[in-house]
Amino acid sequence: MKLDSSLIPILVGLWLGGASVSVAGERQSSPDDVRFFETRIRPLLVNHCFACHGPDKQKSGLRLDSAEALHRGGATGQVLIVTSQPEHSLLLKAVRHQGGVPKMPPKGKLKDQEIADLTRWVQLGGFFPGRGSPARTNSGPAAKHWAFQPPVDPPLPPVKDLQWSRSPLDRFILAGLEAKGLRPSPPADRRTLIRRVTFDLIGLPPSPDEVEAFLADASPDAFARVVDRLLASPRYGERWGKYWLDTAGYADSNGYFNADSDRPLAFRYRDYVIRSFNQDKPYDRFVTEQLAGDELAGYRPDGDVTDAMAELLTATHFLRNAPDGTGESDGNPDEVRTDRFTVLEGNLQIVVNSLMGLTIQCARCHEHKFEPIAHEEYYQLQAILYPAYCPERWTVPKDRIVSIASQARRSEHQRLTQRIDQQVKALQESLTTIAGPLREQLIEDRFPDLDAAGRATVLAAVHAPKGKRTPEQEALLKKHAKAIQVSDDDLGQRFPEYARVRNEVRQAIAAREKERPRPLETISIVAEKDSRPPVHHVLLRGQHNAPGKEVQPGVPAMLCGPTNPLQILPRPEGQISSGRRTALARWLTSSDHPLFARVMVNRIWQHHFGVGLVSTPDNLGQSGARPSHPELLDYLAVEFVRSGFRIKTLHRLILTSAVYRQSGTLREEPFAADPDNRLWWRFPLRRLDAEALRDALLAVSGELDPRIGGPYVPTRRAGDGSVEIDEKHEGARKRSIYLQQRRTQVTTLLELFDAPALVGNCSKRNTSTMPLQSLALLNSSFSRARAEAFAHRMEQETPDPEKRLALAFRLACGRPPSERERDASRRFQTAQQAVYGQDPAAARKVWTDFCQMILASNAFLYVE
Amino acid sequence: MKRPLLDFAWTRRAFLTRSAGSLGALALSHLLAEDSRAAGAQPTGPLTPKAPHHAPRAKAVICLFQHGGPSQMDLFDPKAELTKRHGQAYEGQLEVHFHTQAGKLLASPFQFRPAGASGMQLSELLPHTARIADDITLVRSMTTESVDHEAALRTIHSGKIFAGRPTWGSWVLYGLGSLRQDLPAYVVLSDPGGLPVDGPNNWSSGFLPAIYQGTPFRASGVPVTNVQPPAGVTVEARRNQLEFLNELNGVHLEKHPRNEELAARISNYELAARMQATVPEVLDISRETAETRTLYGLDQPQTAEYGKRCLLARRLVERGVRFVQLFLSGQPWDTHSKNAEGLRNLTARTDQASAALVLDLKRRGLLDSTIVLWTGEFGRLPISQGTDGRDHNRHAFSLWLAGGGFKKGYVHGATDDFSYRAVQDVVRVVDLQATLLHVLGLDHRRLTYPHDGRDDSLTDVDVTKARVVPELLA
Repeated sequence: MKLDSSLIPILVGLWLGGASVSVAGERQSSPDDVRFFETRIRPLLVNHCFACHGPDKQKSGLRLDSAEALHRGGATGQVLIVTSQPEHSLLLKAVRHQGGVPKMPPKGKLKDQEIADLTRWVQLGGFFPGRGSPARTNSGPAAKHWAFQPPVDPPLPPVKDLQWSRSPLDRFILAGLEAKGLRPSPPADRRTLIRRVTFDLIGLPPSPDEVEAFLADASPDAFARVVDRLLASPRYGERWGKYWLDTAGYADSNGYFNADSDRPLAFRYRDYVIRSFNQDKPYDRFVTEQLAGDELAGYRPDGDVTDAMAELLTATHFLRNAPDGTGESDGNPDEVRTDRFTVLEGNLQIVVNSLMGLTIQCARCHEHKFEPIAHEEYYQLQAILYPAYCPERWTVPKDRIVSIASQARRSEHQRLTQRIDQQVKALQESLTTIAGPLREQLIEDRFPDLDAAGRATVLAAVHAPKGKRTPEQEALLKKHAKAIQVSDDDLGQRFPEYARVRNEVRQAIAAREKERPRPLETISIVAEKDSRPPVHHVLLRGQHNAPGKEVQPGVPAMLCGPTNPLQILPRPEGQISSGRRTALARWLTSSDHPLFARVMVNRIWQHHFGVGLVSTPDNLGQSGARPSHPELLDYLAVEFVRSGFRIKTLHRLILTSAVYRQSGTLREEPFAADPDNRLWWRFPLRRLDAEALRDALLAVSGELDPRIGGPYVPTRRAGDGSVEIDEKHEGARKRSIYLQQRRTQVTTLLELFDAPALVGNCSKRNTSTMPLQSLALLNSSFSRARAEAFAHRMEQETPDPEKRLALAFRLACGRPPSERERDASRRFQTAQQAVYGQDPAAARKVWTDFCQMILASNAFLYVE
Repeated sequence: MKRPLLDFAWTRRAFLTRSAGSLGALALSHLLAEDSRAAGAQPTGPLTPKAPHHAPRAKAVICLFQHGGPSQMDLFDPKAELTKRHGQAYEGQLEVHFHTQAGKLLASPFQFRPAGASGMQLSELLPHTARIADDITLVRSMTTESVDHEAALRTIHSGKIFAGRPTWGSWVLYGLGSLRQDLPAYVVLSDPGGLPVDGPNNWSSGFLPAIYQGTPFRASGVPVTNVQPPAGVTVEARRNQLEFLNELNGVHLEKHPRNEELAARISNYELAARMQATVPEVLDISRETAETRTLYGLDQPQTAEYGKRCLLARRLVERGVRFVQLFLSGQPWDTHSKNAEGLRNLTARTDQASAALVLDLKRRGLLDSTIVLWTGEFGRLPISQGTDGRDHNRHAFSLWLAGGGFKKGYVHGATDDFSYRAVQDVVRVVDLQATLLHVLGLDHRRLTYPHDGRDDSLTDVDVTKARVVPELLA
């Protein structure tokens, strides 16, 4: 708001006239005033004024983003606000476009309501709540947002139907349905149920034996025991670990630049996640390890790394999941710095998004417009990671590793390695020394027609280093290119004693190499290496070269209850690390944190039911969706905390409920009232996701490789440009979680079925329905190969075509075929037999076609 | 907009009630039919043609994207003052990217000549573009948000510097749907040399549903995967397969009535079968005349590759594909050194076919309904970088537009004396995007999608104040 110097007399007049001039910000504001400010004034200032008079630009030296700045006024030092006589306020004259004052905002007049709001604000003294940040106030609409209140154990709602519920959580669902006059669905049949829960917990189909056993089990806890069996399966961690890896933004490549270079050690973190899920590691512990495993382990760069420490250090790879191009940055120093800050920003975004369910990027450049996260608070959060990710103390990704060994063993290893390097080098040099003169002699032998001087000339040319040769020498070498080439074999043939020495040296080198110590096992980690934490600043407009005020580590004030501040404890003796990340973990995992448990239980609900109680799993903030059943979400969150953050306990709670066991059958009345099933009047039909689809294809065909963990199975670009796994690779039939997750090279089959190419993280996938998927199931070599193996498997199992036919349905769909399916199958086989009649492999082809169509059918692709 | 003809009314009910025997036969008869009319649109799929907000001038887009930042003062924006002051220091502040290498003012070594009836000044490097001068709108006053390649690419494709936003092709699909469902509606023709800088982000659907993302046809090898049936599966065997599959899925659907996703998947098998015929047909340029092939430069090694992709772009649009985007590998226009030499090579490779595309569309009557956009992500500086290069410039760049109701033989806007800064009739990228959507019948303020708690859009008008630029339109 530019102040014209011609106004000075007016203002001076006001001063001298003794008008009561309020100093902006002096007044004590009531909660109502604060709400008024946060809902009406701050958004207005942010949208219309801050671009020119905010943290980035201060046209005419004027800022309007804090009480102090407002009071200070512009470069001319004039007063903007006259509380007792608002009509004399320069600010209001400007926005009212009165004469003699610059018209503000210059691009167009504010709405009447906005001008009225500003007038009221001026009358209230032009105050700014707190110190100019909405988040510091614990007031305003954000203060009342449901997700920013700690979850409280809700009373069970009354219901009319006292029979239906199997679990307290059913009461919440039932109450919602009864309020609309609706009834839940009857239980699904047992075949449906076991297929549902098996895919749900382990991402694979139940075997026919497992189905039959469940059908035959008449005991009341039959289903609960199925759930227990599945939760105890190592396959469980592979299924639920993958969800976590998506949320955490896991990839096997660095991304950022097109090079998308390799992350060869990331798999250790992937395996750590799978292990943690299988062990039912408490969620608070799991997160603490990932945020601060190095601090938990008492890691020092120069200290021992035991196996127990290695597990904790591996967990910190969580903080390395964001794209990181700093190993390839080759621009000017500015660009290199930008690339480094991008890593910090990316990882912070994943932390906040995955653990708190909030979007945060907006606050990188300005006050968050939708969430109570101030610009400054964003950098306070950054300051927590800053000691590990300071651009001035950068380590490129490939060097951010440690060996699992004691310090003594590391030195010893290094010493032995160096010694063998030296020995091998000496041996090789000795051979070179011997070979040199022999080579000369051989070359001379090849020029019998030249005199001694001529031979010397040739040798001089051979010895002349590249680039320092005369044109004559170049010409000479080109002319005799073949004659001057002396291979090792040439030498050995001409000089048998050389061959003998050479073989001895080779044996000696081999012997030395045998003594070379095996490489130490390495892991990729995040850790602080300097005990002096670097100073961090607010970055104005998010620009790394525009540092503003210094910031200390902190968390958004709105999320701090009175009992849960961020507390950075004094460093234990000898610890290098600042303890900031441990403090973050302690703050997050506190039982009264408003978001931590809710975000996780919502995500678990989403994976069981297809949609979360909050349908935006990575955004529970004011801009996220409202929960469909807020009390149920709280109930689950409180139970989760009460169980000691046991995820498997939460699964049991949900899976043994009546709502989970409902049938998916369509009923007209609830469908008309709630077509999207937000009240959960039935179980939703869901397509297998990408990994479950590929894994189930392999399981049904009998090929699934059950081995757990290890380095990724590499993907490759095939001749047609698609991304696939080499069928001959020894790990080609491992589960999809073990396939290389390269950001720019997503396995085509998985990509077609909506596997994400992780740029950030992904808590929720789309389910697309595209003709390209149909093409893949009909024509891809992968799908054909599975059908062939499936046909072969059935050939092995039984010679009887009728039994085979039934078995195919049992394996793929978890049930025998219906009469119509059986009938259609027979007709199809007859028709195919006629087509392939003369072909010697006709029978095999008929069965392969049959199997492929079963695996392309919706009865296989969907879980009821 | 005239709704596409559903002459082959492949509605779900029709599909499901066909007897198993006739279904396969129908599919097969269709496999071989070349049908450029809108065939087989799904009744309610996300790609179903949708009514635009207002009467559109164009229904398709071909974007010839020139990665790296083409040098406007050497191609489109002649500056006498720059030539005069060659070698002198630039007076005033310049935003440079590579701070340490900022040199003196660097004149363009290329001659500019008036082209067409309009007398549009174009560089000698663009003799073919000169031939279409009377068909294009040349904008000399473009500005963008960043001098960083990735951020500027995101801006020109998706409106803002941030990753994760939908590209404008995705917005167009979301707003208008597809005219055919036997071809992808948003096709990316990438360079056999490799992906462009920023890779698939250039055609990402961001927070829009994945179905709106660009489908990259492979530049080498097989452009669309899995189009051919497995070895040994004959036409008849495939027909039986589809019939059997349809029966199985029919039984399944009876248990799950009113499930649109299942219905869509069932029709997708039929569409997939159609793609098996249409895709190879589209890609087969052997029946193009010798004259056409020469027009696109297919007879010259230097122009053949880019020319072939321009020709493919025309064939795709001709068959109802909504949005086609061509990319070059890496960022060849990024002439930080040897600017003149780089420009000579690139224009020799691309000028002829870019112009041929406009000429060819025009003579086939397709230009009026197709937007052709030639642009990079930013421009370059009037001073040298090192001795013979030019650094990035976000304050001015040039682009051209043809067809779709854009003015013909028109130059819009101007830069300062050195082509450092656009000063007259400035067009920001978001203004361009608003205008492109407008031409396609979409109101950029109303084409929104709920994301992160608000209705987000390509231009985010509340923040950017993007506006349609009516001066660009005839």
